[in-house]
Amino acid sequence: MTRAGTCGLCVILLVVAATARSEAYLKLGVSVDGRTIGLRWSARPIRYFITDRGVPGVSSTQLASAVARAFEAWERARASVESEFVGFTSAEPFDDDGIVTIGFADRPDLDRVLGSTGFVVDIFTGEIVEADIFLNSAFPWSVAAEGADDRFDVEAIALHELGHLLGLGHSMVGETEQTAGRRRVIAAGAAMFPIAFSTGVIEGRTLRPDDVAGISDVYPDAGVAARTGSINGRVVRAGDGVYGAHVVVFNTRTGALVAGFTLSGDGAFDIAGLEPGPYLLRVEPLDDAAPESFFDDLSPPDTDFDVTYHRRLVVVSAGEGAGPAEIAVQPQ
Amino acid sequence: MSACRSALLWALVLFPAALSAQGSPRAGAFEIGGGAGWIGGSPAGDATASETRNQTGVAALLTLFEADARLRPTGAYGARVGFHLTPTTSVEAGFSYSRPTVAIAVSGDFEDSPDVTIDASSLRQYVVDLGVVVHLRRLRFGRDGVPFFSAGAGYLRELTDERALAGTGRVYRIGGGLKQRLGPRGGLRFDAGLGVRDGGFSLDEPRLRAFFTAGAGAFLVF
Repeated sequence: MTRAGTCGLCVILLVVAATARSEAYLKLGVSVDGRTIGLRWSARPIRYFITDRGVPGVSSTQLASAVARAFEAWERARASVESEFVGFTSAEPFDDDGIVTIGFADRPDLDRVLGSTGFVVDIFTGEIVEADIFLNSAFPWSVAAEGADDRFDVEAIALHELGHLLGLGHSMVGETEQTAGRRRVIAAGAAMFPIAFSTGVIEGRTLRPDDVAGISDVYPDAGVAARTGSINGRVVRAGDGVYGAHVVVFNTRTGALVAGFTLSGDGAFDIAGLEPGPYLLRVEPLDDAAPESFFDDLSPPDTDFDVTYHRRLVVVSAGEGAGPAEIAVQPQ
Repeated sequence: MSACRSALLWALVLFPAALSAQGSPRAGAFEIGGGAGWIGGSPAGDATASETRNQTGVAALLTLFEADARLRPTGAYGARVGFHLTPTTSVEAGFSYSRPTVAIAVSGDFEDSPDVTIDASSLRQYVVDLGVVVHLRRLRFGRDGVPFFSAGAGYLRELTDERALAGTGRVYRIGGGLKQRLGPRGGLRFDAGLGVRDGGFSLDEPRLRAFFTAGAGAFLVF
């Protein structure tokens, strides 16, 4: 999975290693006998190496510090994630060497890719055996605390790629605009949004509720099931399910935005990891990123409907599921 | 309609007893009553869904949409049990039930989706309270009409249609009304007042919110 830059850069998908299509909300998975199994690490802590090469403006030590902060952000997100920095290595990211390697790689050919994560997975169990991340040194980078003009923030992009490394797919909680045939992010509500903030912007260093819900769904800590709830339902048009609809649930009390897609022909969705409270539901077609950032070519999402709000308020209680919420949309 | 039927039922049950009984309230007397009422609408909070803007410097937010909620006016019904401490002062405990509709106005959608009102949900609103009633016997209306002043406080519990807990809180009320005796032991009671919710359902953090009330019912003293 990759992250593209803004400033006129478009999203592209780099297929790496043995990952499968994005599955359920935010998660990556593999298809086994017709069912999808989420990717996850079984062995923890995740022991990783940093390449011993820096780039102008960022030394390998500074890269290691930024990656460590990004890992810590994920570990604080009510999830049972642990990591351990082992040391520096001369190995290259994406070498099939059995170790987790994170570092810069010079990939001028990927002129729209800031970073990428590749996996080696057990396709029968979904267990991640190895995952590597590279940040494309063809771009200018910075680790400055306040960010640096004309440079992308290492920590923000590392945070996003580490989300992939942990098994998360892309989130579509964000808004973009099309300018001169290229897509630019206007705002985002998730670190896992597929298009990065512009150079100099450091807001991407912070995990959002959508990211927290996702990681706690993959690696729930001991109390998460009792502390959080879920919303399930269907998106329908003229009585038929809508595939690929983006369902955003908004906790009016906390301001949290958490989202998921309908991923079956009957238009069903189930969004978990939600803090208790009142929720409004908004459904929109996938129009803020390239569909291939979320769906494979064989199952393109249905986008022929207008933004629609669920006509009912949904209250989520701790440890319980709310719904079903049936949201009827109209064709555009 | 159910509230009206309930009031009528109370009246049918209580009036014959009230009309046939003799005597007047005294210290130590009990009073029971019930009826139907109206609860005025009240604000129920607002919220803004926002995302982080792609810009350097001070963090800024983009509004995805805004929501503003109100509890619509609704009917209510309930019952009270009172105890006369003196001929003019009584304490009472009450219970009421209502089903206000939650109306949430959604506006300002970033993708220009038309404004919409989400109003297909209602709350099951339960209130139990304790209060005091002071009868102003010197201000009688005619021979049998006694105005009164009342105040109280209670516990509020609200559930959604799906029985999920939507909120809890406190309710304070102050008001007055008239008790029109139809016999020595009973009559009709008319109330009006101002209530304040402290908590309960709200889109944002619960806070104090005012509402008006009015009601009518029957009472029996024994």
